[in-house]
Amino acid sequence: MSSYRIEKFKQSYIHSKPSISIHRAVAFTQSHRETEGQSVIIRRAKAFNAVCSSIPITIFDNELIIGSIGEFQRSGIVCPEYSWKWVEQEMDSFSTRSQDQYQINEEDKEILRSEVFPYWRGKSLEETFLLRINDETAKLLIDTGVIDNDSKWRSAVGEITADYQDIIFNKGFEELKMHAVSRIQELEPITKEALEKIDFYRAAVLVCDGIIALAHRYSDKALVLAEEERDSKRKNELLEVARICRKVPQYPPETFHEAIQMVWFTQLGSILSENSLALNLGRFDQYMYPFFAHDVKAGIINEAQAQELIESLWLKLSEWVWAISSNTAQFFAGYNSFQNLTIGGRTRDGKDATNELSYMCLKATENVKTHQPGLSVRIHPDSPDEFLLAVCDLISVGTGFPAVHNDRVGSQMLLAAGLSPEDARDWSNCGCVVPHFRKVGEWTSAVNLNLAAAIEYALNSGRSRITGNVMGLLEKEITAFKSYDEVKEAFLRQLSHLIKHSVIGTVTAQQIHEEMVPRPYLSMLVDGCMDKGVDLSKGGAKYNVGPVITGIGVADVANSLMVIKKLIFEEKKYTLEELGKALAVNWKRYEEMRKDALACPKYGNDEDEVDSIAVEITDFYNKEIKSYKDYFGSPFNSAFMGISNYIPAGSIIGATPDGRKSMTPLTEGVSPHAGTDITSPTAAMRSAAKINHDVHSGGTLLNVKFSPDLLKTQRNKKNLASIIRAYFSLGAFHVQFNVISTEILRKAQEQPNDYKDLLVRVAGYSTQFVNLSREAQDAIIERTTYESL
Amino acid sequence: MKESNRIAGNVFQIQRWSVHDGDGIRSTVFLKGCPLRCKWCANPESWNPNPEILYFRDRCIGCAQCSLACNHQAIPMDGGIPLSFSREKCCCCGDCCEVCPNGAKKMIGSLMTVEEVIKILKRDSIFYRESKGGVTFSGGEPFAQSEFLREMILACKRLAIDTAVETSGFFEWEDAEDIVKELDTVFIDIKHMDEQVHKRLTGVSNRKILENVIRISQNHHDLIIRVPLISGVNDDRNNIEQMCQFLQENTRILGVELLPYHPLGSSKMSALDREGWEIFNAPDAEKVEHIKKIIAEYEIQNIDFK
Repeated sequence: MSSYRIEKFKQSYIHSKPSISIHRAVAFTQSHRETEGQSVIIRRAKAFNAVCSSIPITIFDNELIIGSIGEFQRSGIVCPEYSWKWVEQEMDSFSTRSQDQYQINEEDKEILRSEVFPYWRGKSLEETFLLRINDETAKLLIDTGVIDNDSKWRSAVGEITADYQDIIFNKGFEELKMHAVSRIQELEPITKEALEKIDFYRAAVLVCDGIIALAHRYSDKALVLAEEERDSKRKNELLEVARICRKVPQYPPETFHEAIQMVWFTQLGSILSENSLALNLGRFDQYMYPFFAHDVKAGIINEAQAQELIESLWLKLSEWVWAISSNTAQFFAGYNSFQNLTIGGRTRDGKDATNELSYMCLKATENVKTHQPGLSVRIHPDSPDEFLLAVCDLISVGTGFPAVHNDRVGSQMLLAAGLSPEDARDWSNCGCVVPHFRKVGEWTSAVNLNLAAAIEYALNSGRSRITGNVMGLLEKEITAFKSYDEVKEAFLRQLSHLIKHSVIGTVTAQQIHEEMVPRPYLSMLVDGCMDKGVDLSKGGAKYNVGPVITGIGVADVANSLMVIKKLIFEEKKYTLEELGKALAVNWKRYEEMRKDALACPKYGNDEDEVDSIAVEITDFYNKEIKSYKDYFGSPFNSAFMGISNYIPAGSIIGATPDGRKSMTPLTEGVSPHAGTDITSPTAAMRSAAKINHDVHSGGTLLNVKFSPDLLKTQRNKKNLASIIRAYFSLGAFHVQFNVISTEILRKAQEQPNDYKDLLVRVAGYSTQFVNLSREAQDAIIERTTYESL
Repeated sequence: MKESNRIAGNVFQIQRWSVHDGDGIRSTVFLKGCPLRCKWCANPESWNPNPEILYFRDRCIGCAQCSLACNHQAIPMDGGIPLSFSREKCCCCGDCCEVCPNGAKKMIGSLMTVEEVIKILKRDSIFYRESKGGVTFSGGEPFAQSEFLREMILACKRLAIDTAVETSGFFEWEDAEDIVKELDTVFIDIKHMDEQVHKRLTGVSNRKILENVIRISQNHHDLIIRVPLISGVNDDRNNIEQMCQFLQENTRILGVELLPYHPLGSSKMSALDREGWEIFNAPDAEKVEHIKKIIAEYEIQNIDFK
């Protein structure tokens, strides 16, 4: 149970509506009008500074941790420098659309229309990307659902983990600024490199000044409120808050409260700088522990107070709603901002790292039940059993949190990506299930690639079944294939083609990002940039890891190839011609064949026959992707994770040989296709573990759904802990559990108001069930529920 | 391959992720064939020691595919409509099940060798290890296939897999003694203490069962008594106290697990064209708690694998 303060705050949070705050967009634009002709990085730093100096200062009732994105308790902001057209086109339907609604008032709309958008016409990242991307790639890449990277040109990248351990808590923004000032004095503007570095350091000074100014404005406001406050307890709180904001983030924190406030200001700066996904919190229990231990020992704070501060941060992280287009909202449903926070795991020298804060973070998520932060745990063989049981306790609550990760495999993935052993041990999650490290610059979700498109093009002469357009490589008629291997080779050829265009889409975007949208503020938070004087967007981070291309629909393609192998070439029950006809008419009048297709072995039942196809495909995918290098020379990486991308990806694919009907959802991550894993959860896990997780440095994801009856008792929770350990001993990376009965979900569909705080795991993340579209809700209900046997 | 691995048994289901029949995560092997005919049986398809066919009439769409597939005139057709299903003529080849488009016909039971069963059981070894689980043999009456059961248990032992058996207790001790000694856990049912009532409800006397309870407890410490608890049939104080007295005086056991009745067997009885099944009621939660208290008064532990 949370404190009274948190409960009250949570209630007002739940009942507030996501609303668009335009102040960031207005200030950012106004600044750009005034800086024409200056270097891009300076202009962006000045604009950030202007935002910090002008956005409204909002302190909500009884807050302990302060600082708000906008004037609303749930605020979304828009960043027209990345894209603005969709906002202009869609803002009239923001409050009525099916997924992720926002409120926006008429006056603000008018300001956006008259003052903001006109400036960015022809200047946004989106427009530039669309202008520069080659036609052949564009045909596959732009709003098709075949290969999709619009989050890399309709919005900023995000995907960083602020380095509290070695930079922020250590130095504070004042020291960073002083460092930049001294470097400027050392440098002489006589080479291209030096000119660029001088610009970088000048920008650094501006962003440091900006975030410090924002904190000072909060401090001033807290003082004003303290003066007006009649309640003496609250008055003292406000005075303390004012003192803290005068100190952090300018200077290093010394107490737990100061450190948490510093985390939030740092995060607030990141959000205001680019409004992007996956601005991660990293290993919170590790970098916060010294403050906790010190304060408890010194009697400055007790555990209940620390818990309240943690829960305050959880609510703050949930206040920001990511404003996205209705198209993007299908992929990233549920206002999710993917601010991942990782607990547990090992220390840099390989010891168990679990501490009191690890448990308190689990408790915070159980208490506040907010969709942020994305709580992830790292489990290794020596993780305390009581910690894993505490994790299972939280799983059994049914919020979908935490995502459980195999500590060792995470390290292996990062070793494979080129990190040192110590750094690889020190990993934390990015977004949903990407193993990441705070000194890494990486596009962790660069492209979503629809694997089912490759099978469709292979079997349909390169054409989309839905549109009839030639999308893939030209391919012979389906009747011309003489063997299973020929079909498989055709599929792999089509897949390679999609991979190549994914690479083109990514490096084109990387080039434009370097030119147009340097990230001076985020460059302060990631180690390497400041030392080198090189922006994050130019590869300034200590490590540059190649972009991740995520495959969607492993199960669907493995199952489809299985059907072709078995029914067409082994049993010869049908011909390819018949199959082609059945797919063309979405199985209508081919019920018998569909039944046979559905009865073929399906991935997720521990049957080697079909699982081995999944392994073959995923291994090929990895090797093919790794053969390409990105804009900075780092090899690309593979992943099988999910956002809610398997739903829109399925909507552009016709019927598939596995018996799936046209336009229905595909499968997320390495999970079995919904409703086809009928053997047992252990069989599903064994199938998933056959994939070689350690090579997919971009992460893998398995979703398992349990009915709550299976997790009521301590005995059940122990069994849950056991299957997690067993799954991890098999070498798999990640598993998450949805623990909700179908009955409850149906009720929530009918009476959303009664289930506002019902959290479900969508894929790599949890969100409020009632915030999902009907389609997404139905897909969740359909996933196999392992009822009590 | 070892000769013993070729021994076959009639198995009607192997259920992985079985979490209520012993410690940890288990796989349960259901063996077909049972000498008892309990009127509440949840698995009536386990009675007959041979394969047989379940026919769910409510799922039949009358397509007559089965009639066409049947080579034994067991499903005569009249004007394209299947008339009836003759169990006398049926040889249980399963051809009709293969073609049924709607799952109305289902083949129950198949002969599997020790090797084939072990291959499936081994797949979850890592889950048994992590959870201190293992394999449970259930039925039917597992000891009715004692030769097969013995080889299965020995094969599990060789793989260091924990073993348990769920038995009705109705078997010849000479056939079972050596097997019992190899088992890690034994579950045995006591359905009623009164011989006549027992006979009426299950078709057999309880004398042999109670003797076997004593024998097993003399040979085996990890013995759990299971009571299928049925309202108005065996949940009265008198019956429960008699059982507790019997256990206290004659045995050493781990404890008693109460299994409140559920009516899941009903649809299967009609799908087997069998009669003699009755609908009972489960005692309410309060009653169950009350019975647990009585058991506890006899210093017998209440065990629960929920």
